[in-house]
Amino acid sequence: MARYIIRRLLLAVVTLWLVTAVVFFTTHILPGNVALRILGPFAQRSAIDSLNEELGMNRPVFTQYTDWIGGVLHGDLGTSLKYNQPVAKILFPALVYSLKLAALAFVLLVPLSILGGIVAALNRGKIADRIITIGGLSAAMVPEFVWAVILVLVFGIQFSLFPVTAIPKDGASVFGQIYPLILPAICLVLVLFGYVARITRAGVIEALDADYTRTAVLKGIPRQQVIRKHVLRNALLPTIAVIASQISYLVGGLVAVEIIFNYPGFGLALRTSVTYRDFPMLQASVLVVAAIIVLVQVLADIIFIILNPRIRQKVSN
Amino acid sequence: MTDPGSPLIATDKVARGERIKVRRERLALLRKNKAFIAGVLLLGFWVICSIVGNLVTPHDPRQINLMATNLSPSGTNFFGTDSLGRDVFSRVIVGARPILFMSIGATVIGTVLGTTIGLIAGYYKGVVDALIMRLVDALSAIPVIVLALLAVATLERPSNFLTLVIIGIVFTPIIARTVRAAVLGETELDYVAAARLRTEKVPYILAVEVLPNVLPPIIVEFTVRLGYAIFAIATLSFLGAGVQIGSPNWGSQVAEHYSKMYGGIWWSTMFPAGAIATLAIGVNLIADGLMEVFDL
Amino acid sequence: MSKANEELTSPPARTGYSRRDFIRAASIVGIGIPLVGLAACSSDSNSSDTTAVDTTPSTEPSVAVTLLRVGMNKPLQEVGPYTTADQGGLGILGNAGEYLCFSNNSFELEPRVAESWAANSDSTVWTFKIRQGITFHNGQALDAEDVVQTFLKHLDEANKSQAAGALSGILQAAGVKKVDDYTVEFTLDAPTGGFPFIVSSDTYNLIILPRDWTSNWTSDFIGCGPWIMESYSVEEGVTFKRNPNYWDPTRQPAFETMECTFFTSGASSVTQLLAGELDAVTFVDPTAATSLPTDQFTLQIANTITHLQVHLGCDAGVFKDKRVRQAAALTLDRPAIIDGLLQGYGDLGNDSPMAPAYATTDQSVEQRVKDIAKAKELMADAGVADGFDVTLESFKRDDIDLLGQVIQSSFKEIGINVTLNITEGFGYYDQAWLNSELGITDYGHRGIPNVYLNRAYKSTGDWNAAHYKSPAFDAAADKFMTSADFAVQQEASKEIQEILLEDTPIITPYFANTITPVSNKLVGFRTTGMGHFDAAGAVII
Repeated sequence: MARYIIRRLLLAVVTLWLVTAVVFFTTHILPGNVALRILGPFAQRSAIDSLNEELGMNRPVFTQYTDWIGGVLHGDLGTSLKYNQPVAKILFPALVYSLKLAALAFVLLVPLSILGGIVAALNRGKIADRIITIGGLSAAMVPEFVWAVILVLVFGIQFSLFPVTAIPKDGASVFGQIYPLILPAICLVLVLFGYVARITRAGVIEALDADYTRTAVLKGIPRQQVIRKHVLRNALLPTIAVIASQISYLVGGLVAVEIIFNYPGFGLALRTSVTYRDFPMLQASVLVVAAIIVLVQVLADIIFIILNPRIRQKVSN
Repeated sequence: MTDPGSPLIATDKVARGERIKVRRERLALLRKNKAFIAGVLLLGFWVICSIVGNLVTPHDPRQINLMATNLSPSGTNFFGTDSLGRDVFSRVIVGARPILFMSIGATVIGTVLGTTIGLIAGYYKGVVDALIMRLVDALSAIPVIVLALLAVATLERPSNFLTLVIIGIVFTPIIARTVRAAVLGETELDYVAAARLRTEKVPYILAVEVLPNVLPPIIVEFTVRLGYAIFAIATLSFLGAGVQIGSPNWGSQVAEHYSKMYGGIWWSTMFPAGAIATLAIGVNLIADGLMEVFDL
Repeated sequence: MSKANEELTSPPARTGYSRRDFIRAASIVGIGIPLVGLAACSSDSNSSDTTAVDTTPSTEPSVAVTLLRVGMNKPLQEVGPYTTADQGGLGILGNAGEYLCFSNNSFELEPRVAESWAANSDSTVWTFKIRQGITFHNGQALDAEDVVQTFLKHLDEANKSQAAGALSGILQAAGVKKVDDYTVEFTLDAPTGGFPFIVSSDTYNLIILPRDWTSNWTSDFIGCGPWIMESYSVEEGVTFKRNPNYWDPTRQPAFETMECTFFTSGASSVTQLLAGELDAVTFVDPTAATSLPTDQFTLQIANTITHLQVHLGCDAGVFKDKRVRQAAALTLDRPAIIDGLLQGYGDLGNDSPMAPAYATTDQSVEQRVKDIAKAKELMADAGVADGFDVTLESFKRDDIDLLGQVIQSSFKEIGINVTLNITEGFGYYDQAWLNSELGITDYGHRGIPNVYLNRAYKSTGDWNAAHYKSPAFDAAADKFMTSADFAVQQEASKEIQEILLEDTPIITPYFANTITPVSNKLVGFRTTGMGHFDAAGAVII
């Protein structure tokens, strides 16, 4: 198993390296006038030229790449062109905000979708099953920003139940911090619910049909207990894996949701850096987020292996 | 090449007849699937709009009328007017074309490239295979939207066509992975071995023998990807990536008008948003029906 | 949709001449008008910008609210004296820092660090008296040396200051002289009647800095303004605390803390205002503003000079013939544009920067109105009766997107097919701006039109996107800018207006109003056309 984990980690490193290459070279196909982006349109030409010189924008692309990678490995993510501040100083608070929103989304998602999956499995083929599976996946195909405007109109404006912006307030109570995040979190949940519920459903169905369940039922153990003891434990494993695999979609969804709710997270920062072609900021944001996603996926794989005796055996062999 | 007495041909004919029979059964199943039919109707509606939409709109979707901005829905403007006084109903109808054209285009590119690579990787295994798996890993670590934004930020003149190509390329390794998995199973089967015995060329084996047998997963993957493409393209046009200002694009209509909702002007946002939702759900219902019938 | 109470913080130009003429003349001669005097001059009965005086904390000690919550535009660049070039950033500069004088919404200058100023007979040498008893946030006392060093820093090319452009051709480092500890003398390159405006808050980078300042401004926001920075985050906002040592007791903030939250869209800030999370939002767009209920909020409206210039290439290409340019300008239905795009919150533009709100503007020059028949005739005379294709270049911003589309549909009426190439970010300024036949450029408010005339219209102007070259115009513009005499300026303005209407190098469809929504409980919160906001005299009642 240790060999598997090492192999998995090495693969993750290769993946990350590929990501850095993709990110850096994508953004360096076009040189553009970096100094003008820093100084703005009304700066004097001479100032723009001298700043370009200063920034070393005339160096070969490959040198710039190795310098960048070197910096990243030493914890230096570069300097934002737009704000002339270290990228890390802008990016990390934003990531913390996004993390809060994502965490709330997961807190809502996990019990809801597992419950949905179990209900669907136990009512296989009936109306409840169809609604949860087909409805859930249909909801998942509707982009987050569409959900966001619908939820804002209905719950924010029509019924005034929730705030329509998610500005974090320092020093607010826990509820005060969570409350404005509920609507944006629901947008994310709606897009993820369908998959997770479906995987749970499949897991539960498989477990229900499995020999050990039949044996338990034959032994006369009550249905409730069978489900709790045998079915759930086996059905939850694939759910863990699928939830981890959804993190990439979750991050993508943050961009649109944070814009609509004016939430100062990673998505908003990314959007700003795209608009103003703040490449150091852009590269660093994408890289950091990709790193987080890769890490989560590796962790999920490892947990999955540790928890699942059957796969563990296969891997050891 | 043709040997009438060969038993291999006979089994081939049987297989073909079998395939037709299975196809008929599947069609019958689909016709009974209400969700699938609903999906076909939804998608069909938008496809018709995208073809004849420009001819049937009650107003010119681009006609600005500064004296009639932000009017609520009425008998003249079924969906009201937007912030430049344009008819929202007409704009929603003609908005079907760009999103369908782009998402189908992107999915076709992804499917053609992905199927080709997947067939080759599944047949040869080895290096090509490993490379595809790494690429899939790297690409799945960057969310589609983020990757597309990155590319759009870099392009000097982003356009619909470039966005379409970018999405298609992002989809390629994912589709390749699905096809590869299906091909891996097929290469073990007799008919491939038989074709090899007949010393058929590899492209022939892949295109004529293997491809028809892995079509079901490809068809399902196509519809699923189409759903994702709609999702991604709508989101990108909402984010303003590669969209020509003023074009009747659903995503950009939402982006341009959602802030007006706070002032009670909901129609210029909600109708295009609803259009995106119905199209996405329609495609998903079709994908769902197909998955069920193909038992995937 | 009901509109909230509207207040004109500056009266419409048509009724405001005499008062403004007086004040403006006064500002040029440099009478140090005390604030009380200004308040008395403002004749609007319930104008909130004048309540500063009678609602100072000293007169109303019972005020219990110690926190002011403001929504403002997020700065899009590094905030600092050299770097700031946008509304969000200058809003911060103006609160932490202090200018020599402050250009308010009534086109008047309020003395700040400078107590008074005066020019020699031909407006080439300006003498500023510096106020005594001002200290910086770090306790350092301010005197003439700090003022001189501030100007030298901005004039030093190595610092790449945004203000350098505004001063170029007017002032050089050698012209800045300390006369005594509280007197500074500026010797100009050319006579400039409106020089005090150029060194006022209109050139928003020119806050007075400590003489030895070199560091990163965002770390402390040092200045001598009424607010001291407590915390700052580029994405979220900035929190200020009151400067207890602020020099002007009448403008000593009533609030212990001012919390400014950054917004990227006016709509979301308005929803926060509605939810009671904010007391004021600095600036919002007209549609967002109209959603506020009248009983809780007041909209403070100001006629500003903020405008969009649609340049038409004069030296080559499809718009080379001035008849074609006139025809293009005749297709626009300006009153409808103001109604449809700005919900009525704008002044008519007459294709020159001489806005109706300027006192010097001659209101008798005929307003250009939509006339398709005449436009078609001009097109035929110019030999392009069938029209032509052209690309409009600009950058994405709500008002530009909308105006671009209106131009596209208006030009179409006379056969001009416009393709919109409206890109994100600064790409437009990078390439297309000065090299396009047709484009839209945004111009901020200025208390006097010198910057527009000098840089966008004169043949030597470095922002002359239309490539307009007219000796007659240059002469009229110079006459306007060098004179300090109101009658001469008005006469020059008329010439400028007429020449530009005839030549039409640039279409100016409208001048936008600024809209500042504030809670009815908040009085004395002021904003400027330039983008400053001033809460020093504000209280919550």
